[in-house]
Amino acid sequence: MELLEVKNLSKHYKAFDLQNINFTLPKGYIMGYVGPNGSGKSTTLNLITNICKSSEGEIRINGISCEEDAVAYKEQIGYIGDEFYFPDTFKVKNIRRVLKNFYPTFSEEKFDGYLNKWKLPEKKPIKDFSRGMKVMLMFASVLSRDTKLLVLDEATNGLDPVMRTEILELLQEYVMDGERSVIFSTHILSDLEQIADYIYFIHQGRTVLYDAKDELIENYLLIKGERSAVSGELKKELIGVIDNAYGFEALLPSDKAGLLGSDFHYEKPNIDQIVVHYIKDGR
Amino acid sequence: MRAIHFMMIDYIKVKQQLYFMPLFIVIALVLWGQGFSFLMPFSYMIFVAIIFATAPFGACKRGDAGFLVLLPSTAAHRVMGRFLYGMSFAGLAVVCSGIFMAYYQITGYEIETWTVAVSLFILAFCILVITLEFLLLYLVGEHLAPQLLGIVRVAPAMASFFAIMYVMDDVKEMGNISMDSSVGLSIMYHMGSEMVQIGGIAVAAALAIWAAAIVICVKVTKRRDFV
Repeated sequence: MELLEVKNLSKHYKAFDLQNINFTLPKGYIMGYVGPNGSGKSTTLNLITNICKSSEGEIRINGISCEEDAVAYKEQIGYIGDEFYFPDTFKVKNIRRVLKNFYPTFSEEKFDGYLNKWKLPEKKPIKDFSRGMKVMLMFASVLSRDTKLLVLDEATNGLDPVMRTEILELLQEYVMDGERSVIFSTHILSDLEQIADYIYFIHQGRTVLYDAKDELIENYLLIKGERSAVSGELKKELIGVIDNAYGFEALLPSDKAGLLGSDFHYEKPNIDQIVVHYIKDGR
Repeated sequence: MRAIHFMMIDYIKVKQQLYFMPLFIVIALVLWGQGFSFLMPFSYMIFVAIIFATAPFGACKRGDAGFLVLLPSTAAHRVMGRFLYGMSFAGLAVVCSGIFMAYYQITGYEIETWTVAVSLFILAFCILVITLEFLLLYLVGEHLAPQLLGIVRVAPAMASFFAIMYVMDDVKEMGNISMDSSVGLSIMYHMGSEMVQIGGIAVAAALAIWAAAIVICVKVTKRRDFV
């Protein structure tokens, strides 16, 4: 059962076009949405959250589009961005009050539980919170109500490894009941390596790769060797050749492994390496 | 109800500015205590209302969208909440002035019909100014540069206040109206209760324009990107 459906999504700006994004995210899974700066990650997530309006295409969460029922659509979303989004003049009590007013499923007990767990001070002005505290406050606000889709836009940026690990555990817990999903954009690809089930890789507003993470890793080999040993046929299949002091490094589709002789060293790539070589290939 | 909740959010956003509100009420009382007609403190409260009505626009930052736009609501709820917030200050001016008037009557002064008519015209003018400011701010975008926003916020309020003062220039105290006074005020003085009705119609017309402006602003907001 699909929780999030994105069909033919496009957004046109003067200097940038997001083109024809298509994917689905089943219930109970985590999708890593990756790409270099300016590739369209935040644009896509802003379209999903309806912070921006699409030029074309359709987005549905649990079968509901924002145009059909904005309230029901938004109730299902928990969003955490790179930027702290509570107004500066707010205090924790104001956030609690607003959440209570707007979300029927908001639980004060859960919210206060997270505040205590993460030692978030009730009385301190939130504009004086540290980056970590601000992120945890955003998490407390979305986890204390019944959301179906967590949309994280580089939410773990600037956090220390302990806090990041805690967040990754939270995300895994979140999807555990098989009813909820996470779409997660980050530059820290090692985080995705740990928790993502699907990877959507976008570059210059266009889809480059979209597959289950394990499939993606299985589908490629990371090749290292001497440049001089590369035959013409093999050269055509290599993706994102990077020269270094010891020769070269590139990706090769696994089904082309037969082209490799004994002159090359190869291994399974990680997500980071796949992304880097694809970006290199695109330039 | 969601619109009311958005209005409350606007109050929280600008609460630091609202702390000064009692000071403005005291100034209005002082003006009144100086022997001016009650129209003077009323005009002053209207001036304050016009300035405070647009305060939340100055408190908008792009990052807030991640929270406010995602609250389960429609563009209509958000816009209506903001308009209600603005109108609440016109309401406050009316309530304060009502208290002034009541006190005036209790202490034995008579409130002349023409002053009620003038108050209604001033109120209609206030609603119209706030409506036009909101319309402008929504059309050009809520995230105006602070300097421009400062001008948009203060200039109409100042202009309104001085315009009212100019019209009232020859009114030194209640009842001092004659055919030598400005034409508009003289007409009001002599038309008496009819002018109150016309003032009431002016307020109703201003409210209708206010409602139409909400519809326009909702349409603009529905199409807008918030980052």
